[in-house]
Amino acid sequence: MIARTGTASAAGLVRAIGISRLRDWPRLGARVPGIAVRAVVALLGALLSFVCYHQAFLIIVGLVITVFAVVLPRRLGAWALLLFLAASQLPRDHSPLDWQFLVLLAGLHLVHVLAAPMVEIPLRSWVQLAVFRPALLRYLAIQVPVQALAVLTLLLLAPRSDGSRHVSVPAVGIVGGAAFVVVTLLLAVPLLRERAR
Amino acid sequence: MTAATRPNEPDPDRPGRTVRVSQPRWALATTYTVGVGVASVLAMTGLLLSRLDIALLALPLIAASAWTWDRRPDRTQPSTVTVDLSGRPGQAELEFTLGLSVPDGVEGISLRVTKLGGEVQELLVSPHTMRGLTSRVPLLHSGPQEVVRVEYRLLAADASVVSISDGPLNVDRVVTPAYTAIASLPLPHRLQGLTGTHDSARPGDGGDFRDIHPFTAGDRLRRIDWKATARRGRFAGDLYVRRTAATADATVLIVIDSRDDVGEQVSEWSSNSATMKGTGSLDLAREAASSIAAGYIKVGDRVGFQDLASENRMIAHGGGSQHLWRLLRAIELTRPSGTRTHRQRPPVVVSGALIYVLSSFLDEEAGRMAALWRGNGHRVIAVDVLPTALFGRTTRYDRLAHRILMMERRDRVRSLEAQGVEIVRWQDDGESAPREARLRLLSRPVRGRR
Repeated sequence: MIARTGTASAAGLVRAIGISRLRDWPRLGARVPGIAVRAVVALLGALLSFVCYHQAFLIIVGLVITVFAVVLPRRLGAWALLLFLAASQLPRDHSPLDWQFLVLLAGLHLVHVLAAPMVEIPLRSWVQLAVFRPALLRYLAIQVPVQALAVLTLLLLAPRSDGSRHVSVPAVGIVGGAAFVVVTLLLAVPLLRERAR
Repeated sequence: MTAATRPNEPDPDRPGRTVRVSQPRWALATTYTVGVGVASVLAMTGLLLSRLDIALLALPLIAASAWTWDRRPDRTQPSTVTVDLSGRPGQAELEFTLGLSVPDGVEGISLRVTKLGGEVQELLVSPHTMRGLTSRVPLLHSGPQEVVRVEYRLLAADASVVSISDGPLNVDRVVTPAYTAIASLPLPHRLQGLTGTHDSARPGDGGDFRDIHPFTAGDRLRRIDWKATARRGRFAGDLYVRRTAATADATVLIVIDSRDDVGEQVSEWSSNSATMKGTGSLDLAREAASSIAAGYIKVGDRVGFQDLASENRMIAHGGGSQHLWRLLRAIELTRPSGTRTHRQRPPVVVSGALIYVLSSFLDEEAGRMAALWRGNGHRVIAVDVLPTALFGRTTRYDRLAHRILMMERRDRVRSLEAQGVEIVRWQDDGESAPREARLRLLSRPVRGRR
């Protein structure tokens, strides 16, 4: 006990120092406030909206979804944003190998990587930067081959504006589609089993 | 809570350490499901529309989900959380070190740390840091209290797999109140016992000079005062002896009213937050009770203890250093009970005891007990432990309510004084006479028999 027989003012001073100690955060090293993660996701969402869409209305819709995703992360608006941004590819032609597509490919993945911990991070908290290291390393490990694969496949397999292709291997498309389905099932079946348990 | 969770256990090898070992129960986060769902939608759309670019957008999400699934933490590995508290006795703060040993594959730990039941601090930290996360906790109050509360969840694989919290780890400590044995000791109206350090009214051995008295059967010859005999003797056979007072010890009962604990910040009276309320009435009561007990035991008196809120918390009168430790332990364990008791009769007290009643006197009960004891002939000293009020962040209604409460309390205290109960205010606040002066005044010998 600290405040005892001294005068009221001295005891009050000691107590004030104690209360200020109470607000000391544990020593964490390099850290950022929890709101910074949301800020990064918001920035990413806004940038991708501007990159993907050119009509004001659709940009505003993108921004609204971004704000919703950031303000109420537990409502999982970030993944709605992913679908909305991916939908920007639909009206484009079949061979969109340009910087916008590659940015979208990287951006969607980054939003997914950051939005998952965002759900777990309270607004008024501190986040140690080291927490993001494994996720970002994994992000790079996935993105580098995916970007290379995207460039390669779009160059070789995607039809050009005149409808011709550099390489036309119908079997690759079938095998690729089947592979997607198999991988999705491989992920979805245990997931559903896990949920049911 | 998981079945395998063991309750908080103090480590016998490391005093001050609290350990909990638990088997984390893992669950897939909704984000993982939604991520797989989004990836599936993109892949299917790309396939159906023959759009390679859209299918490619699903690829990193599918790869990330597959990686996450592969890197799920081992369900059989336990997690161990340890909290080490260190601090020297008398120090105004404790340092705590939080350690967490987690299963392989954990990438983040979501922590909720609450100090002294105040504001929650939320952190997301790397498991590599969790070998020792240190912080400080100020000791704002004495008595039993929750020093730190820690809750945690483990996050693995992009926070796609999370552990279910198995409840908070509470680290409780009993903080010893600071005390100084009081030097001025008021005594009961009647001293008891045949030994002690106080002069009683009885003639006997050991005390100071009492009077000159005619020699009677049983007086020892060496007590004859020849000068007094020569001066006073009217007949040849008259003899006078010098009589000394016998010594005796005092019996003291310390009664703590632990039914409430109000702080100096009036605005916090309803919430009673440990961090914001300031010095509490029980802080002062513990300090006062310890000081009084130590003062009397030091001079060889017998001291008992009674908690007004509980019939079970009673220590019979006794003396000696071991009894003092017992008393101090009982005093420091006193915590606000919140129970409203109404006793028909006051607790039985040995005759001739001096009774200290330590209370905030915000209601009738403690004052009623004091008046009943006084009516039974005991000397009763009411120690007012209500801290001086501070009015920061109070509303007009708070101040008005406080004023009404204080008026009632003042009437109650005046009524006690009128019934012969002596009042001492423990906190020196400048309004009343200093505590030491008041105790010195009360410790002056009173007229009458002892």
